[in-house]
Amino acid sequence: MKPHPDLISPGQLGCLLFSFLSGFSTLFLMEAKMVKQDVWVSYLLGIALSGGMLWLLCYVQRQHPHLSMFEVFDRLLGRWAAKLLLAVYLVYILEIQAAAMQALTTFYNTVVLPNTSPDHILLLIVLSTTYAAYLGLGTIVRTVQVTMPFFIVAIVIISLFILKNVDSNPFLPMFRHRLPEMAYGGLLSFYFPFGKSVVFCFLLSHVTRKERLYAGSMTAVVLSGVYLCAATYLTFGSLGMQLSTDASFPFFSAIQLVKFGEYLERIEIMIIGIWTMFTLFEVIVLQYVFTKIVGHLFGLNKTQAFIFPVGLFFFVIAQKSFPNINDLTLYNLTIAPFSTLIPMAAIPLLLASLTYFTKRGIPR
Amino acid sequence: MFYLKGAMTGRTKFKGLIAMISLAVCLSGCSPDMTEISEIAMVMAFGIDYDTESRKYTVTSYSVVPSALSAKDSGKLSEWVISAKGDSILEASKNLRSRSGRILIWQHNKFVLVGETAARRAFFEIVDFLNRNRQIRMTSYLLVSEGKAIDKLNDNVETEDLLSNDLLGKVRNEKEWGKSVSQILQDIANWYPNPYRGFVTGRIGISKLPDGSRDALVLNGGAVIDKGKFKAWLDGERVIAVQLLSDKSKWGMLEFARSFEFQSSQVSLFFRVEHQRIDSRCREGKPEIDIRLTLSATMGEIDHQLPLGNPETIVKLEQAASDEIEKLVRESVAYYQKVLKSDILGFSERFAQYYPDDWEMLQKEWGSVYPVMPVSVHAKVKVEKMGMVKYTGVD
Amino acid sequence: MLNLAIGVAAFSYGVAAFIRFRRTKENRDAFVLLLLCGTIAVYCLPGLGDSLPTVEGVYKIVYRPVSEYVQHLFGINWEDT
Repeated sequence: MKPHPDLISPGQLGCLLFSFLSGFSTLFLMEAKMVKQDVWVSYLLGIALSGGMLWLLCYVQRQHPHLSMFEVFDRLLGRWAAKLLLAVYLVYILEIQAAAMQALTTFYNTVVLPNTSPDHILLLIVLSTTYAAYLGLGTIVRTVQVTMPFFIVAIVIISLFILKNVDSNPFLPMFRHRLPEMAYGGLLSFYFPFGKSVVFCFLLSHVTRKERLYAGSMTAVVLSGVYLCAATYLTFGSLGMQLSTDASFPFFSAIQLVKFGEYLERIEIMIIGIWTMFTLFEVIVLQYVFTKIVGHLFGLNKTQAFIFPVGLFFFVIAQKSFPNINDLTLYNLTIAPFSTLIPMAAIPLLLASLTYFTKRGIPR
Repeated sequence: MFYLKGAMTGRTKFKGLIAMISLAVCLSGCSPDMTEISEIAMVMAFGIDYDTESRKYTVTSYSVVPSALSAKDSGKLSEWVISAKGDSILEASKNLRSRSGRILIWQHNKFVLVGETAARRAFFEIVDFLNRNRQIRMTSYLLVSEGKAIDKLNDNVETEDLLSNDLLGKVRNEKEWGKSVSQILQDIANWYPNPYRGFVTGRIGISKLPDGSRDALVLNGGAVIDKGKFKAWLDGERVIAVQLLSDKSKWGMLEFARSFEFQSSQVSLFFRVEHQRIDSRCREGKPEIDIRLTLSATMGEIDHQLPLGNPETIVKLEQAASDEIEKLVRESVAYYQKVLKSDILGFSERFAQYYPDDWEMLQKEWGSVYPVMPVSVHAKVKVEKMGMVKYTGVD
Repeated sequence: MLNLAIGVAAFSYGVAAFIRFRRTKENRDAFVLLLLCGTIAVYCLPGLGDSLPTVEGVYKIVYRPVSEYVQHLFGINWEDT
């Protein structure tokens, strides 16, 4: 059994997972634009699916309490099959980190810094996340714990102010969309943001109290879902359905309407700062996990030295991805929900099945 | 850097120093998005006009520039109006730079004035430009100007205050008289694409002072936008009902006056809305609207004595006031239905929300259904205050 | 210019780390790091770097038929959104 220097509690895991999922989940509201007032059904579907996958992964980890997830892969699948499936996760992380970094860069370029080169913004993101990943998991979760109260207080205050602009229930009339449309919306929600929680399977071994693994992580997923649902409700209610669908960043546009008194405007600047921080947490975790996977895949001794080049690798992949203006949106809507099914659903199912049958003594 | 931890201290320190110095590129002074405050002019209002003959847009900006030429003048703001033409609104706004010695900052813009011709011919382009622009805030008010917008921006304000402050004050005052209504860009952007409804936004004009000495900017009435363009002007009297039947943000703080005959006296009350409820119903596919208003009233003025100490008089006064409000709302709604033929109150959205199945049938014929749709109005007024006196001397 | 700097930084780091790891007989770490840094440097090359595959580019080719089939099956029309 390898020692884990970065041990965290289930609560800390939950905080990290919440920040990971919520970072910029409210930025585009893709599924909300698609299924409009029935989006809450899609969110419920997404939460249920990712809850199921998390349960499977926590089950696998609990059955192997003294092994890291990499070692579980090796034990269940054999060395080479494990390497292959871990490589799938490497590709998955590259996929979602490119989308995350491009999304943040697009937002900054459109709203805040139109004259700044996107590459410079990407580089700044990478330098920040590289340093944070270098500091280790313990430091990362402690930072999340410190910043979480600011996030919660800011979001609650702003939400209360936006709520004043909501006159009628924007989730009416219900069930006006076909079941396949709501199901596709659920698939979108599963891909982004809830299904990203599968990356945390590689951090489960760092958690001290394994019996509370699922409770901690599922709480984070549910709270993230509540936040996303509330943001969508407020966006539809204050902006209106038409403008919410037309706006590039609907929740941000809804926050722009908030005024304290007559002259205190531009409160969205506070939210930009908090959003940025939480998106960075997502990329930090991805970079940390990527480095760990690379370390195990190639049997490396010193993974710390790889954090910087991994960061640069993230930079070049993100820079070369989504070259055209609508690429990110179309990719998120049409390709990513399918390309991420293998790491988000198929592999956890496989691991859980193998664990179950192995425990029952049934040969694989 | 990372793998050299624990290596020679001098080299590590040197590399750390290089890393720290390289962070200097992140300083805000190096950013191309940084703007010096002494170089900016803040656009507080701007106008868009359209010339149908030359097919060109004119964008006029009203900006304020901080003046700090001397200690005596520091803190003052000087006003500055410039115009430019272009084939599109974007081009015209960019062409403003040819006349501007400062960097125009649009984030503080409070008003968009749209000339009447531009509102009739180019409203789509205007809304699209305003929505796409990252600097113009959704909380800016859009007003339609009688005649050209450029004339309003060049007009001097009676109070010698900044034009934008004066207009902001006028918008703020709308809730105290009710005969003018202004909408923010967010509402306009949300309603504009809806083919089943129109909306009313602010109307700005110029009126001469009673002594004819000078002109004054006036916000009175409204401009009806329907099917993507300006349709008609709305009188101040007709705008009160728009305020009453809109969202709580409009009627919640509204206070308006009405004068009517009561027991051969001319009575003026001012009203506040306590509660407003609009119910939509669909009976056998036929839509109906039911409006219920609860208002409180304060006595403002009477032209001769009334027995106001008698409770029966008060009850009759309340009944007369209720009838007056019902008449106001009923006639206004009938005007919107039969004369304007425009769903400016958004009744279609209520049916879409609460009767979606019926709405799927209704929407095909909404243009013919709306003008004849029955709208029932019930108002209940309670006279709560008499003012500072009960009676005024001997009649 | 930025890409050139990144490429040079990655390559320099890779070479320096390679030498360091080889001295401490960690050959596997050395070669993997050199490979990773070399890949980054190649991605940073003008022209050649733009033609190298990305995850997004590959997945668009692989999963587009799947996506179109499912969208057709579900009757999803993006013009309505």
